[in-house]
Amino acid sequence: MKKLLTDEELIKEFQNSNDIECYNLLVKRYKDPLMNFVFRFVGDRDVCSDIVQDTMIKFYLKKDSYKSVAKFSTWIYTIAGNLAKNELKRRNRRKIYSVSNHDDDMQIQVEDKEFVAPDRLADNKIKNNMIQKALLKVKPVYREVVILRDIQEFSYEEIAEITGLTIGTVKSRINRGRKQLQKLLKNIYRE
Amino acid sequence: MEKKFYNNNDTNNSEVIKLLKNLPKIKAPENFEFKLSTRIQNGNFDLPKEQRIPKWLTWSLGPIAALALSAVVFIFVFSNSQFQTDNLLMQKPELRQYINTVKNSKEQKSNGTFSKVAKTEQGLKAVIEPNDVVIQRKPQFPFNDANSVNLDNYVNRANGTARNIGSIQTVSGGQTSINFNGFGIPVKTNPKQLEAMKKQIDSLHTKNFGK
Repeated sequence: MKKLLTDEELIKEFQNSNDIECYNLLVKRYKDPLMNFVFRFVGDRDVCSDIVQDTMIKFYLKKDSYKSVAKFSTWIYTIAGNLAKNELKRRNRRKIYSVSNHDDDMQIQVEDKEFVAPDRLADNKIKNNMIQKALLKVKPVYREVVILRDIQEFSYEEIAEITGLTIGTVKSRINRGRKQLQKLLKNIYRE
Repeated sequence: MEKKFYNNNDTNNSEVIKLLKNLPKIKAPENFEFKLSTRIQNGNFDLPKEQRIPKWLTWSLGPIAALALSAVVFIFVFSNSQFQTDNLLMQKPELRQYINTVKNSKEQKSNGTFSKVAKTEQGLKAVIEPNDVVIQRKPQFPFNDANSVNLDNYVNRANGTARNIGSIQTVSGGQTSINFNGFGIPVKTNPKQLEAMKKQIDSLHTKNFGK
């Protein structure tokens, strides 16, 4: 019966009666989309799983901070996005002290046409891997909105709500992000 | 379900959009919900703490750093100026003090008694005798009194005695009038010539006043 309820109805029920079944239903609905979003943004499966876990914990603890004015999806994506950004900041701090820079190797793999043989490009797995690496090379501010728009398929209004930006800023960031990505992936879609 | 296009941006980069759309969807691990429920049941709510520097701190860091830097510079300059006062021209001559102490120690050694010597501000020495009697003594300089002048006394005119007049003239550079008839050159006199001169003078005297 509860399975038929909308996200907003479920969270309202969870807020009012502290019904753990409602919470579990919402977790079931959002664990995979959030996992996909965070993985594309951060690029590490284990870390991504931890971030989504933390998102769900935060949702459990701060359920009362959700206001029925907003959509539940935008609220939970905002939490996940903020946690993912914190993770990236932490990584950047660690990167300062690291001696080797693996990102340079990644750039060569993505940008250098001669490095990867054309026949290997046919392999979807490698292709997807390259797209993911290229995505991680895009600036985080652009990457977030591109993922939300082109992978998670949110509307501009929803993205603006999740990121706290104006629709104009969202549009321009998406455009810039796509252009960066296009530069990085030019060798893939020529094939 | 097809995604709705809101503007031309979506059509301009259609190749990129297509690539991103076709990416495989990542799914949560199978034990995700189990892990989550155990965390909630155990009350393990350890969330990563956000290590963010407060905004007010970032704003105040600049002035604080500038203040600290200026304080360091000030201390450095101030300590340098202290060293500059150690100029030899600014120091009290140590030679006199050294000679005085040497002389005193010599005197004390010759007398067979040792007394404590303390310097007073007016140049007088307060000498503490062994019987705890304090006596003020004039410091003994390594100069000859006959050839030296006490400048303080000269300036104050406190000691303008005949004994010092010559010395005072020396100091004043000859501004005060004194009886000076020129320098005398010692010449060996001939007694015969002297007699002749005496006779001449006597003859003149009798001519003018003898009458």
